Amino acid sequence: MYELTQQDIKRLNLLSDKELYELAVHFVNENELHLSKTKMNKLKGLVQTIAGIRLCKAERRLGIIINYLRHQIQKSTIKEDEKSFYHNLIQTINSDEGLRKFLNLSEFSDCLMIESDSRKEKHHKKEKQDFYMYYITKEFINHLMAEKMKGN
Amino acid sequence: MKNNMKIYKEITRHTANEKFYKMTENFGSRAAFIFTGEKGKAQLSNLLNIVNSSLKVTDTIDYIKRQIGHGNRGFEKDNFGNDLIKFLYEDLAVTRNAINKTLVDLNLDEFAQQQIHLLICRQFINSMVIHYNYKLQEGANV
Repeated sequence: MYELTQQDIKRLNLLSDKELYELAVHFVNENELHLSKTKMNKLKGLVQTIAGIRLCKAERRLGIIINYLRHQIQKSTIKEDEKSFYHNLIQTINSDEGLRKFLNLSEFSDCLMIESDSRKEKHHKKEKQDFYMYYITKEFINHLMAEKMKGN
Repeated sequence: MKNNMKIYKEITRHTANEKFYKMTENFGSRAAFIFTGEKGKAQLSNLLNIVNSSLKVTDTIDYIKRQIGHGNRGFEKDNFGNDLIKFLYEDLAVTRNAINKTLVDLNLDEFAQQQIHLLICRQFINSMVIHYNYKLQEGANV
């Protein structure tokens, strides 16, 4: 299982301060949708709990977050505003124009696969990519929930 | 090591000027009106812990935002929290850029610049809490 190095943490923290914070503020301003305090705390709590689980693959961690968001959308009792908010959040996390675009930055190019990579290298890079993506999502949601709580 | 000394020296030079001092005094005085009693003291003590232990500037900003959202922690009063966020994130970024300009020969990378911003924020909150405690004590003695 891939573990973040000091260098990775430095790069990701910098990205969080520089890009993800601004993106989260922009997201909240763009999507003026109401989300109850309970829902916000639940999402924040989920992200924090997953971060605390050891020996859990990054891919799985990200999957838990996405599944939670999808499950919320499918609930029959959900309000339209909340549904749109979760939908837009999934879009931002998964789309190439959203959070995934950061993986293409030169700082994270070490996780990009190339044709000549062996199977073992590809597997290692995939793990690295998943970890970066999970960390980016976690930071984005943390900024997002803080901004949203302030506005409520 | 030599570069670190240069950076610390420059941070001290920028945070020891009168304008910076006045701002810490201003925020400290405002805080003394808002954060009264043991609960108020705990709020600023928590803020101090967060800023001194965090690795990113936005950790502190997020903490203040969450406290504003709670609605009964004091940060929402008199727009104190929002003003503090603006000062830490925008105004101190200007100070950071000024420091970078004076240290142009060191060719600082983005990570070093982020650390400078964090150190200035720590310096500011530390001084603000000192002013807050002083004002609180001054008020109690009147």
